[in-house]
Amino acid sequence: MVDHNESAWLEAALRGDRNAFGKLVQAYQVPVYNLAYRLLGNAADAEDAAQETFLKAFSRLHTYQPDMKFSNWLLSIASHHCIDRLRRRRFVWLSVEDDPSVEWLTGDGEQPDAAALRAEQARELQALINRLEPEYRTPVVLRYWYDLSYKEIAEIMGITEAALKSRLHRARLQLAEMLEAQPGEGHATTATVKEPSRSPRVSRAIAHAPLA
Amino acid sequence: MTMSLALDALLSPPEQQAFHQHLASCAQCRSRWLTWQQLDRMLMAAPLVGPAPGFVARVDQRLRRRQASRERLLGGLVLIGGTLLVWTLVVLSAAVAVALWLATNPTAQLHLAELLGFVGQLVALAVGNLLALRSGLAASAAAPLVTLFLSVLLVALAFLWLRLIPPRQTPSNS
Repeated sequence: MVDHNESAWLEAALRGDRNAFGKLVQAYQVPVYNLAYRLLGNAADAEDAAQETFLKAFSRLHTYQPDMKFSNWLLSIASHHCIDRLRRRRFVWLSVEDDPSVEWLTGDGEQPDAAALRAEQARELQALINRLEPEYRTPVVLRYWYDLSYKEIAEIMGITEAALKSRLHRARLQLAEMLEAQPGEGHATTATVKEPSRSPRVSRAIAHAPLA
Repeated sequence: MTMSLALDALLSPPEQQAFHQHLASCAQCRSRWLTWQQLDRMLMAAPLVGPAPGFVARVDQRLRRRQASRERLLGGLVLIGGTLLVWTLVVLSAAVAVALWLATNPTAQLHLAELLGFVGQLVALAVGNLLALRSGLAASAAAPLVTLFLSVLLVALAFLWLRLIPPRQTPSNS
């Protein structure tokens, strides 16, 4: 499940080679950070959680089983760590003002209005996710940002596929209710949601079947 | 759960057909399906967010600090363990040396017996005084002056008893 380079880095890191481990950090910093950011809802906590994930991974490298993708193993550590943090800080106010994706979204070729619209949508979306219970956030994030199968997500979360289906359903239900409850939202805004120019991360076919 | 599976294209063809037939006849589910599709598009559009530049260096720095901290802790434990080991060896050696000395020296055995007897007397005296004090305090808890008097009396008795112990006799070597 690991490519040649990754395998060599892993072996070297297991012998305590920090440079080799740095290559692994370089390769997986974005997926791990993104998961932490989407689960925790702010950049400062995401930075700390992502760092902590890699530190834990380094100290537990000897427990890694190659029958699991290394990226999924890292995501599993990250998601458990983030859920623990969320449970410890149930009543902390979550701000979406420091959303780093806003900067990310404003590309050179994009019109300021379009960039502002996308930034606003990103903020709204993260605000919705922040309101989900911790155990419902992970399946949503892993499904939409990582394009993982139900089997892989269940493996990462350490739950059964049946439990995952149930959680994903409930998460979507809650998100849809929150979306409908927002003033000015609902079906009228459907047309304003621009179909994105997809990054290579997600390539699944969306089942947007036409209504009969 | 059907709607969630439909969104992920995980329904079988017959299930999908039944789902869409239901949507055609149920306005509430049709409305919800539209919202779910909108949500799906929003989630799909959200980008991956990466850390600020220098993340790898920051992880390495933290890793280095943690390793140094562990090494210091390990060093401290080794030092403490080594010290305890050395002191244990010293005490054991001293005990063995004293035992050997006593075994070969009858006069020393007499001195030791006398010393142990004296220590025993002191311990018995202290325990007896403490018990008496405890009883006195319990009996006169309501009378502080009586308690004070009894305490002074006990201390005086202890002092007299120590003074009345006969002086030790040095055994003659002849």
